[in-house]
Amino acid sequence: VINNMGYNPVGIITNPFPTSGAGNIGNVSQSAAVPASNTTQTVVSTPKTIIQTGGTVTAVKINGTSVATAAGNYTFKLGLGETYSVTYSGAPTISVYCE
Amino acid sequence: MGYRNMRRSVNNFGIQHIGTMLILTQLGLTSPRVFRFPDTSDTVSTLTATQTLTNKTVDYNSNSILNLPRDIDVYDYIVYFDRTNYKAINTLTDVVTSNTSFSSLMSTLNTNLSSGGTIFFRQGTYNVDSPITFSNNINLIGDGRGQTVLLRTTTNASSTITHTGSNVTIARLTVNGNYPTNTSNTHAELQLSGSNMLCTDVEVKAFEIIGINAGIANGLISNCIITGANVSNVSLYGIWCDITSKKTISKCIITNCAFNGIFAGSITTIEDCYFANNSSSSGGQVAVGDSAAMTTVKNCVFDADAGAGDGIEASGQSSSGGEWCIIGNRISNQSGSGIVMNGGALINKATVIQGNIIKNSGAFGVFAEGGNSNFSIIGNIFSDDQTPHTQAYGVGTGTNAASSNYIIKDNIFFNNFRPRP
Repeated sequence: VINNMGYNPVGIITNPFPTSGAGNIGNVSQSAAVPASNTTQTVVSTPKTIIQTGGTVTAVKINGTSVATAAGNYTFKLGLGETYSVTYSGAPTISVYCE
Repeated sequence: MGYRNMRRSVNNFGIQHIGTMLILTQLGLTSPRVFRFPDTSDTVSTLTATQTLTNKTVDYNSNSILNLPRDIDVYDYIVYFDRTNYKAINTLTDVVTSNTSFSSLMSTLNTNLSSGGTIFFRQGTYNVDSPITFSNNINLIGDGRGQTVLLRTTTNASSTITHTGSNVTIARLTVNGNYPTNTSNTHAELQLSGSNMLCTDVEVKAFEIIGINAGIANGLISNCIITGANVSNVSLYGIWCDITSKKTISKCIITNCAFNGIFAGSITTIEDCYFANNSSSSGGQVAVGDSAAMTTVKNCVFDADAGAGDGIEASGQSSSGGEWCIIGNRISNQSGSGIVMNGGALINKATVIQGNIIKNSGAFGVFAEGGNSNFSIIGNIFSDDQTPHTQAYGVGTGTNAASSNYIIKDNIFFNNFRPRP
């Protein structure tokens, strides 16, 4: 869902994740600001920009591939169907922007 | 053929008058055929024809009426009503067949034209006093919509006129179902069940159930005006064509049907048509039947429905349906949604919605929720210029993953009450 005047860009989504388990990152709010640790979240509806900072993080995976093993300031631009997961003992701060 | 009849036949040719000469250019011929009208100076009984008329006779008959060659005459019978009897002139023999029953006369002509032919109906109203079936390849040509009127008077429940021939044309006439005076019809006013049929410049009105039941394979319905009774649960379908495939419905005006203006089947193209005030009882102004696939709706206008429907129900009504192309239409003021794609068990295989203007719907511009998949919605304008706005969403896809495998891009949304796909 891209390049629609009057809709895109959708902007930041509050609580973009489900409370537990794997799920989708869509264009409407769900129930959690941060996904459950080590769960796979799939981008749907529009491409997303995910900004992750802080927390006590041991792994970040994009499409199942490790891209980080520690906390830090990360920005991921994900297309439809791509996945994101973060493994943590202390939740990071995550912002999700919809195109 | 008599001169009085020739005047009607020449309408099928290119015509040029030069003095008393009449030049006829028959379709497909490169050279014109030239005839001269008789005048008071004529002293001979045989006229000289030029060019391509070798071995064809042009002369006067015993009543001093000009006879033209047989192949110029496009009508086998000319039918008229003399206020007492229905009559059919055999244009080859000038023999007149007469019957007080129009339907009986048509049965006779159907038998006589076992190898096919053309019947021309002069201006007038013809009472269909029992259901008529044309089983041979017979063209039915009237004198114009509203001029030649086939009026249902039979109390039989069957279709008013059934045509099972093939490679035929039905044109330039009105079929009047006569509702509410006549409430006997449980089928269609015009039942077309052959193949390769052209139905053009035909009006169907005041029908109780179906205007045209186009069970045609390879059929074209064009330039027709189909007007329902505008009564709840009456005139259910303007055109029903769910049975066979490969039909085109073009440049028709379809209004006042209680269910659907068109209820289509597979491989149906609907183009340049106008729909309004249909769906007073249920359904979309255009909908499709079970397992229908490959339906195209393009360049049509859908004005307000009658209060219980949507513009287009783009749904295969089973898992094998779908494959719609909905392109370049203007759909406004539907009580439901502009376009509905039923999901779930009725999921579409594939749908393209492109270049439409969809505005002022009572619900969604496009309703694509319920598990739809495999569709693209590109380059449309979804708007609402009413106060207050009623078009809740331009496009509804459900929350997050309710729909899947879709593209929504390059559309414009403005003034939708909640402009959220």
